[in-house]
Amino acid sequence: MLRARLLARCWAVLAPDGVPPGRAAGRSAAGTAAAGGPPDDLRALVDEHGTAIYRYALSIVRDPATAEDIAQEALTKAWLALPSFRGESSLRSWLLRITHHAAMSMLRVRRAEAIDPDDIEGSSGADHVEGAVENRLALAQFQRALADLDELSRQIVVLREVEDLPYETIAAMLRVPLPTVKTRLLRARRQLTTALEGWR
Amino acid sequence: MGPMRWRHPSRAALRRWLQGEADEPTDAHIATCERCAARLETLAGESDPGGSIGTDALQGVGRAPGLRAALEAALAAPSDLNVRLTTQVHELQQQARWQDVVVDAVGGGLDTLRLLMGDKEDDG
Repeated sequence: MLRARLLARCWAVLAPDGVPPGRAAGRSAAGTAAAGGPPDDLRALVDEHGTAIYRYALSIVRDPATAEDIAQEALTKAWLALPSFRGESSLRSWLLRITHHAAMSMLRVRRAEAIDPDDIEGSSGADHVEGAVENRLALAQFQRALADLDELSRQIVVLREVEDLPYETIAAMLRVPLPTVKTRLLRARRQLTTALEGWR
Repeated sequence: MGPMRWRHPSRAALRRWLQGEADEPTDAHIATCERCAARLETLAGESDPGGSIGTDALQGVGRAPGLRAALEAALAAPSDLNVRLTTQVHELQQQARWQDVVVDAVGGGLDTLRLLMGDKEDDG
């Protein structure tokens, strides 16, 4: 009995989709991958939402390496919890909410260790795209303006301008009143617009 | 955030707030006041008749990237991010499963021992 259970557990680890032969798969056949690699469902999830999760995490922690750690943690949690996702909100906003919690936990640890994000900001995430941007100085100026925003405003502007989330969803996600979302967004847009002048 | 101020801030105070001048009482007030949020949107529209501040009209103006494009550039992800994330998440999941197996094996304790002893007797 116990031996059978242990064998089943080992099979769950070794099988690509974690489902022993002869049993109904928890995920669809399309969700499996050959040779023990990541399941196709996981690849699809990351391909569709990985960048948005990373971008949002980066807007909070302002450090590319930390943002990637947060993205990894958020995706791992989301992948495990995906079967219980009830579709009450969009998948994107559900994932961003998980990312928000992961980033906040990370920030709490970081603040406890008294590390200022400005100290680790040197390696910007935009290093990878700077070459494709016509005016690097303008990008740097914009990044400074973004960094100068308070943490809440930065999150709001990314969730609204990049992720297109409704005001109400943002307010619920960040647990702030609706007017806060609107006014912070207004001011953030204004400050960022000034920084955008370099590109005009 | 302090307690909400009951008097609505003046237009001048709201303008200053829009310019980014920190004023804690104003900040606290407008954080919860729908009416002042609406006044701010009007004020922003007045000082920016083109509507680029209060609307999404910033997209693709001249050579300047829109606000969204600028944000995407400023927060750009490494090109191989998704491949790395997929691999990392998969590996973490595999590790967690192996840990479960070990916990099951160790947690079996006496049962495992009995099973092994039983096997030995059978073999003999």
